[in-house]
Amino acid sequence: MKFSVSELSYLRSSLISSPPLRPDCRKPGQFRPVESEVDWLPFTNGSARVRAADGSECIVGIKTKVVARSEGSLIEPSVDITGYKDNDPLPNSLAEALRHTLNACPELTAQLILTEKYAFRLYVDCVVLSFTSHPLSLLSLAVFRALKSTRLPQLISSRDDTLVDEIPQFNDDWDAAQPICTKWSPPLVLLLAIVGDNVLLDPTDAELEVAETALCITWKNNAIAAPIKNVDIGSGKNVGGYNPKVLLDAYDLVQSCAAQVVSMIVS
Amino acid sequence: MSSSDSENESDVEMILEKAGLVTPGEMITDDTIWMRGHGTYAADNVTYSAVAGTIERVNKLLSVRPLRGRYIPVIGDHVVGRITEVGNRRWKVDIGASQDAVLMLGSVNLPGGILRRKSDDDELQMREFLKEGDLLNAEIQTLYADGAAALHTRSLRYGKLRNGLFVQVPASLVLRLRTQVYRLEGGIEMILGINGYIWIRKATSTNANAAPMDVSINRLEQESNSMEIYKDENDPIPPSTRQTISRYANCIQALVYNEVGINEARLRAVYEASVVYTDAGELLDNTVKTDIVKQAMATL
Amino acid sequence: MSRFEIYSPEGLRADGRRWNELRHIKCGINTHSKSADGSAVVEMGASKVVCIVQGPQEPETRSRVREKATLSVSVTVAPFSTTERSKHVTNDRRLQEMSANLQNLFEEAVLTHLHPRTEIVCSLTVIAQDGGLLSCCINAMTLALIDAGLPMYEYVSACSVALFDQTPLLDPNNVEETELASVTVGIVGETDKISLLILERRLGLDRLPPALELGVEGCKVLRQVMDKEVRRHGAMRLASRAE
Repeated sequence: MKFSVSELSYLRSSLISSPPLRPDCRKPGQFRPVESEVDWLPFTNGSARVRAADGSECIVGIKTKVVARSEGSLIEPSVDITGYKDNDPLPNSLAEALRHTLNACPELTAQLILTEKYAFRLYVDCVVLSFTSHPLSLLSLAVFRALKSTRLPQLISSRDDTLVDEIPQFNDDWDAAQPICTKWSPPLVLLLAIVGDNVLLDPTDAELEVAETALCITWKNNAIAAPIKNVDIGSGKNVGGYNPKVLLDAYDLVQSCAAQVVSMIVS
Repeated sequence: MSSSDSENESDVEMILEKAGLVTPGEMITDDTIWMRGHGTYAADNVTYSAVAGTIERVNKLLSVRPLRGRYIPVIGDHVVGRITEVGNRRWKVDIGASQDAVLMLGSVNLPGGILRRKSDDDELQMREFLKEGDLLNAEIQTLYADGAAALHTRSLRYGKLRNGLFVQVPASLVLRLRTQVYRLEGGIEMILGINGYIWIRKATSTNANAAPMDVSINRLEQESNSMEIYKDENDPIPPSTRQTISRYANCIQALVYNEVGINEARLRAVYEASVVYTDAGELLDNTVKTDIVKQAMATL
Repeated sequence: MSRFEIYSPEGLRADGRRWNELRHIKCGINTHSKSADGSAVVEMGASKVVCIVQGPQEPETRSRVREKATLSVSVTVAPFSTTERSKHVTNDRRLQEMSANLQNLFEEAVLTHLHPRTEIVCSLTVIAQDGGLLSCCINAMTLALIDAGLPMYEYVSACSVALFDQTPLLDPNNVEETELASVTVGIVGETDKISLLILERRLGLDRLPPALELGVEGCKVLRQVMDKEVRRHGAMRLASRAE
C-alpha cells in the first residue's frame, strides 16, 4: 500500500469531476513531456532512447538476422527491466503486448520479406532503466522511435529464389541501407485510465491507483487500430467494471490527441 | 593554546580554501587537533574525506557534507512521513532517510487526552489511528545510535494529514526556516517537510493559525478528545481549491527542475509568475519551468 | 585474424593504439538524478555501462538486516549489447559471478558500518560490450556510489590487460580479449596494491608481473578521469546552490 485513504479519495474525487482535475493540472489528453534520441547504440540497425520528466527511461535496440521464412515469427520483441527477474510477470506481459502489436502490422512484416525462402527476423530489444508509472506507453514510444530510425541492408542477390538455392547477399555499404518505415508509420500503443466517466491519457501511478481500469489503444497510420484491450494494472480491486460509453470517449480522445503525441516524439 | 589557535586559524583557511570541494580519499589534514565528523575517516592519524562534498567546520569538528544523499535526520526537524509498518506498540515511518523512523505508541496523542496512560486496548487498535500508507507530520524527537530517528506527534501541529496532495522533492532542496508550515494565497496551507516530503492542503479553520505555538493544554485535550484527528475522510474541497493545490505542486516541480532551494518567498513568487499561464498544465514544459523560476527569482 | 593484425611488428594494435594506451574514456555522474539516489554512465571505447544505486534504504528482506549496510548487486545485459544479438538470462552463471565479485570488492571499499541495518541496491545495465566489461562495471559503480553520497575509503578503479607474447596490451577490446589471455586488475585509491585480480586463462607466471604493473598504471589514469568528472559535477552543483 503506497497511498493513504485520504490521498486516494482526494484523487478519485478530483478525477471523476467534470472536467477531471488531474493532480498535475494536465488536460485529459495531455501526454507528459518526453525527450528522445535516436541512433546512439553501436552494432544495431536502429535504436532509440526515451526519457520522461520523472526520470523514467527506456532504451530500444533493433537488430536483424536472416532466417528461413518457415522459421516462425519474424518479429521478436523482448523487455528487460533493471532490477527485475526474467520470470517476473511485468516484463513478460510488456513483451507480449509489443509482440501482439507489431505482429498485427502487415506493413512491417512486408518489409522483412527478402526472397521466397528467406526473410529478416527483427529483434526489438527493450531495456527499461527506471519507471515510476506503468511503462507501456513509454516503451511503445521508444519502439516507435527506434523503428523509425531502423535501416535494413540492401539485398543484391535475386528476390526470386524458388528455383535456385542461394543465400541472400547484401550490399556492404551501410549508406545504401533502406529505412524500414517508408510510407507508413509504426504502431503506437497509448495507455489510458478510465476513472468514473472520464478518460485520461498517460496516467500516473497514483491516477491508475484510483482508476476503474486501464486501457491500451493502438494508433497506426492516423487511425485507431487493433489491438485494443484492458491492461492489468495490478491493483486487483478494480473489478467494478466501467460504462461502455466511456470506450467511445476513449476513441475520441485518442483520435484528437495521438497526432500530438507522435509529433512530440519525433521532434 | 593561544599560539596554536592562531596557527589553527591559518590551517582552517587552508582547509576551507581547498577548492571548496573534496572527493573520496583526499587528505583533509594531518593535524591531530581536529575531531573527525561525518564524511571523514582516519588512517595513521591523517584525516581523509570519505565522500564528494564540501568541508564544514564547527569548532574543532571537521566534517564533509556530501553533494547529494538521503535526508539525514536532525533532532527538532519538522518532517512529513508515511507509515510503512504497524508493529508492537510502534509504527515504522518512511521519512526518506536511509532507515525508517520509529513512532512509539506513547509518542502520539490519542483520543481521550494526552495525559492518560496508553492501554492494551490502544495497542490493539493501532490501525484505527494510523495504518500503512497514512501520511503524517511529526518532529524528530531523538536519534538512535545507528542513526535511525524516533518521531513524536504530541502537539496540535502534528498528526495525520488529509485534505490535500503529497509532493516529494530532494531533501537538499528544502531550506530550513523558522517554520515549515505556510499559509498561501488561495486558501492553501503547505507543510514543507525538511525531509523533502511536502503536503499541500486546503486550509481549514482548525489549522488556520499556521503554528499554534501557544495552545493551552486544555484546548489540546479537547481537540484530541475525539477520533477526529485520525479521520480518513476529507472535508469538502471545491474544484478551485484543488486546482490551486495542483498549481502549487507544479510550481514546486519547477523549482526542483531548476535546482533552486524551496522556501516560502520563492514559492509565492513562482506562483505569481505562473499565473500568466491560465492553463496550469503548461507548467509541465521545461522551458516554462525555467522561465517562471527566472522571473520569480528576479523579483526577490 | 592473424597474429600480426592484433599487434603489428611496428607496435600498433588493430585499432591503432600502442601497447600502453587506453581507449577513449567517457564518464558521467548523476546521469539519472530523478530516478535514483546515485547514477553514472561509463564508456570505455565502445563498451558502455549504466549503474543506478538506490539507498541506503530499508532492506527488502529481514535476512539483509545486518550490523553494516548490505550491498546488493545485479547485472543486466541488454540483448543488443553484442555484435551478435544474444539474450542473457539473469541467473546466467557468469553474470552471477560478476555480481559476487563486485559485491565483495565494494564491501571493502564502502564504509558499510556507517549505515547499519540498511541495503544499498546497485543495478548495472550493460548497454554495449566491446571488451573490459567487468572493469567498466566497476568504474560505473564507483561513480554511482559517490553520487549517492555513500562514504568510501577511496575510488575503486579497474581495467584489464591482455598479453601478446611478452607484451602486455592495456584495455583490450573485444577482439583482443577473445584472441588473447587477459587479466582484470582493480585498485582502491592511488596505491600500487591490487584489490581485485581476475585471470580466466592459463598464463605463465613470469608474464604476470609486467601485465599487473601496466594494469595498475591504467587504473590510476582511470581514477584521475573519474575524479575530474566528480569535481566537474560538484563545481556545477555548488554553483547552482550559491545562486
